[in-house]
Formats: sequence, structure tokens, C-alpha cells
Amino acid sequence: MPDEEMLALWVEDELTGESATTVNAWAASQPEWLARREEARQMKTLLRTHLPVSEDPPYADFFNSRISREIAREAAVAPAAATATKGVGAFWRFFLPATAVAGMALCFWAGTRVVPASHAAPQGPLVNIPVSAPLGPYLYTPEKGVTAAYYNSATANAEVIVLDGLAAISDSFEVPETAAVEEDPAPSATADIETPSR
Amino acid sequence: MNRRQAISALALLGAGIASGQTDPGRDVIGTVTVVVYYGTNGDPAAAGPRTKEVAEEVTERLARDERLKYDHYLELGRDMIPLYRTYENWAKPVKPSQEVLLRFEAQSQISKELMRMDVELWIGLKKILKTDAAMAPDKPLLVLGPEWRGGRLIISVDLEPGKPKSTD
Repeated sequence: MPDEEMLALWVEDELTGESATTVNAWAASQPEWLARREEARQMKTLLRTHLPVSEDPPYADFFNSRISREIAREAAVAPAAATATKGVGAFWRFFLPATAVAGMALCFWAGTRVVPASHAAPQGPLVNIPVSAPLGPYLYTPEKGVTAAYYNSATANAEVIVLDGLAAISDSFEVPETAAVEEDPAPSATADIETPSR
Repeated sequence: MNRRQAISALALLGAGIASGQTDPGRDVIGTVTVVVYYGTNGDPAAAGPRTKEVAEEVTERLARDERLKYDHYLELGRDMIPLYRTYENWAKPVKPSQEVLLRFEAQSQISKELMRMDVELWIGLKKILKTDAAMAPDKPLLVLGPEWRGGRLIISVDLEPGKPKSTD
């Protein structure tokens, strides 16, 4: 098995030459890793389609000089504004602290009026939270060309997912003799469960 | 190994066994039944001799939905697998073949009987679908899957929450 660094590069399609060939040969029998690479490729495609390769700054021409001009303009406006507020300054200097104190008192009073949720709800072993119908499931189809559509079938009382674009199973596939045999679902350690491998 | 080391080793072994037995992740919190049906408007004999008849109620249920409606239904295989609290599990409904596989794992308990599960469908050893369906008892997840011999496979995933009755 290739090391983690090699695998990370392989998933990102960054490997070339002999190392790429080696990892490709190994990964051919690893559906999980093939799926990861496919996910990474899809993500790249998605990003490429939604993000521009590069974006120019909004006012590229004379960028620095424009900034300097804006700074100078604001510096000129600031003393004028300070002079303008001087007339009413004496009044606000007295009024503002009083307003702040009144606001704090109002907030304190409002806080005493709010009943915490734990007191408002009836005490009991189970708070009956209405369970709304859950949203439709998330669907992910890693295979290219395969699409999935979900609907809640009231007539069949079932959730239905329709897969389209899927390659047909070969007609040479035969149903094994033991397939329809029902087994007792005896719990067993998951470590013994066979994961798919080619 | 002296006596003290032997006692320590035995104590560690005992502790290991005890912790293995009480792993809450292995609690069985439900049973998942996966059935692969074959629906066809053609000759059902095309599926071969190793199939089972489908219960009438299942035929009626499937036929009620326009997308799942076929003239004939047959059962190709089924698997019944425990759902663990934290571990994943695989169902192999057409065993020993790995043509159709389902990987599933509990994700969240929405309500007492409604559970969201991670479900993956693998066809021909390729992951075809991943979903996080909200599963309710007696309300299966039906996946209209690939074509085969003039018909289509319908994979049914059914969850029965709680401990299996046989293990009580």
C-alpha cells in the first residue's frame, strides 16, 4: 500500500510517471480510494465552474494614488465635522451619559420580565417537541452520468430513489442459489465483516 | 515471568475482555432488511430458476407507484443485518455474490421510531449512491436500480428499530 503522502497526491491527481502508475495499479482494486479521487475531481470541476481563474482589483488604475487621495479627503472633512458638532457639544456631553444609564436600566428591567424556557415549559419526563416531516435526504452519486431523484411515495408508503444513467448489470449475472435464503440476524463483530474488494 | 507479572497480565487480559463485552457501540439498535426485487414487463422466467415469488402485499405496494410499476415482480435475494449503535455494517442480499451491496450506519435518531441512516448502494463493486435517508418502520426505502435482463432491480431497505426479538 502506498504511503499517505503518495495517496494524498494521487487523490489530487498530482502524481506523474512511475509513482502514478504504481498507485493507479494499487487503487484499481480500492473502490473507496477511487471514490475519493472522484470526489476530489468533482470538487475541482465545481470550483472551476464557479470561481474565476483570477480577478482584477476593482479600481486597478492608480490604485495607490486613489487611496492617498481618499485619505487626504477624509482628513480634510474630519476637522470640519468636528467644528460642526461643537455647537451642540455642551448639551450632548450632559445628555449622553443620562441616556446610557436609562438604557441600561431598561435592559435590566426587560431581563427580569423574560421567563427562561426551562421554567416556561411544563415539567415532565419528555418534552413533546413536534417532529416535522424531515427534509428529503441528501443524495450523492459518485459515478459519472448517474443521477438520483428522490420522492416520498404516498401510494407505496415508501421513500423512493430513482437512479438513472446507471449501466445495466450484465445478463450473464446469475442469481446465486443461496441469495434468497433468510438468515437469523445474529449480531457479530463488525471487524469480521467483509468489505468489498475487487 | 514471575508470579507478579503473571497476575498483572491476567488482570489486564480480564479488563480487556470486560471492556470488549461492554462496548456500547455494539448495541444492536435495529434490524435492517435488504431485499432485491426484479421488476419486469417481459417474461419473468428471464431471471432464471433461483428466484422467489414476491408476497402479494409487496406486489401491490410496488405496483401502486407509477415509477415502480411492472407486470411481474420476483425476489432475487435478501439479507437481514443488525444495525449497531456506532459501527457500520454491510448487507449482501445476493450472497455470496457481491454484485449488490449495501453499507449502512446509524446517523441520528430523529424521533423514537424515525432514524436517519447513512446508506450506500454498491453495484458491481462501485459506489453508486450515498444517501442519508430518514427511515421509519414499515416505510421502506426503495431504490429503482440498474436494468437486468429486460427488467430493473428494485432494492428495498427496511428498518425495524429496537433490539431484534430473537436476542431478547
